[in-house]
Amino acid sequence: MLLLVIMAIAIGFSFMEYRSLKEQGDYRDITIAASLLGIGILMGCLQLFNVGMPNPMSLVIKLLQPTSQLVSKWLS
Amino acid sequence: MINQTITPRQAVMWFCLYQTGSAMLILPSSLATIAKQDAWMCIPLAIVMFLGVSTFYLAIAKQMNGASFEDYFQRILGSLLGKIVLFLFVLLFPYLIFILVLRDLGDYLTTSVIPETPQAAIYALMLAAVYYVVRLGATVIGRIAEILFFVVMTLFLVGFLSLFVNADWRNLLPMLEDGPKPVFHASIHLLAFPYLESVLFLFFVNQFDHAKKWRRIIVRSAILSGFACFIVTMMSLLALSAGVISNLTYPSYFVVRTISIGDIFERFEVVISIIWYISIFFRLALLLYVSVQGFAGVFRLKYPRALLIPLSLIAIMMAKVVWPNMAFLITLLQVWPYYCIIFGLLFPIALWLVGKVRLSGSSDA
Repeated sequence: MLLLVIMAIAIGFSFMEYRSLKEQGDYRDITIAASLLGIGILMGCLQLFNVGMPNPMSLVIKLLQPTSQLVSKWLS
Repeated sequence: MINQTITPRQAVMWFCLYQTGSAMLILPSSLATIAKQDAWMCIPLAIVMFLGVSTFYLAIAKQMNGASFEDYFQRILGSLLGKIVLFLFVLLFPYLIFILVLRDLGDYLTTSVIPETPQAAIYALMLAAVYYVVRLGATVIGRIAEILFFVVMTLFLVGFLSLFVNADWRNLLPMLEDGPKPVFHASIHLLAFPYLESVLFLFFVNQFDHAKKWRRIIVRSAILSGFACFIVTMMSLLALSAGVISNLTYPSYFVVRTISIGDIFERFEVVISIIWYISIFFRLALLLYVSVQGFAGVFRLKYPRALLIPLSLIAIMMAKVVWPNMAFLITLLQVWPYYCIIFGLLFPIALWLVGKVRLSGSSDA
């Protein structure tokens, strides 16, 4: 429920932002910002439906753990 | 993001608050886990190492020659490759740290201060304030830093210096029990987090007259934040001992709970929460500011403020995902310094070398 409220507020404020950008004719800015907002909304919907999202930090750990272990071994 | 200029004094304060942000709470624990009772020695050593690293940053700042960091990428790598590299750098470093700091904030508040509040509400409320100041621009953030810096430092000194009453100097003995290696190892961790994140301050170089002035600013902020970290680590060691603080998630929060002077001056931990909340605010503001500037440079946006809401919304959604439990976070903290070394040391060195080759023909190299 809280996520829905957050998404609704984000959409509302974004449209206010787009309106001022539209007056200045910045359609490029609007397109990029709206695309990113769409990604945010999509992520929110996935969470609302309890669909798991990949964790980027798992990859960071997988890639750097051998280095970390090696340095710990050297410096202990 | 209307007026972008900040004074050197404001920059020192903002950068110092940025560096003390997350580090102040978890630093004593991560240092004491490696260097035990010698954890305090790591801080001067890390600062000295940082002074060396800052010369690389200065070399890049000189190569930028008054241009913005976003333009510098495209100048030395070409338009397309420059944009791709800048996009990846901003996504994988400042923006990822932004998400991690947000999660850190949620975890701390829900475990120590307000356990029944949903994390999403904490994220949204903090980001509302961060969104507002970043939208207003660097000048406003600088002015806020100028006001709150002294509040933070006064509360900080009052809180931590009160611990002298509980200090037991025997907690620092024996010195260098396992030799200098663990101290050096812990110093690398400290250098990586938070000092190598200073590469992000390159986004502010063009706000100052010359690169050397900018370097003086980052060195001053590092020394000030190093002093703060030294006091936190030293007082935590003296009051609790290395064995205790290495087993605590937030030792600096815990240690001030032990203050009890005359049954009047006690329960000071809420003040530590306030200090931390303020510094995290500046940390998030800088990370969002830099991320928005970086992405706006990639997409050639005229009004970067349009990205503030979408990036904040994605961060709220991703903050829930970045670590599933405490065990995962402990593993992440072990590898995180090496991740920071990639982006805070190896990447700038590579960038500087490419710049040296590409700009060698021109006068500004």
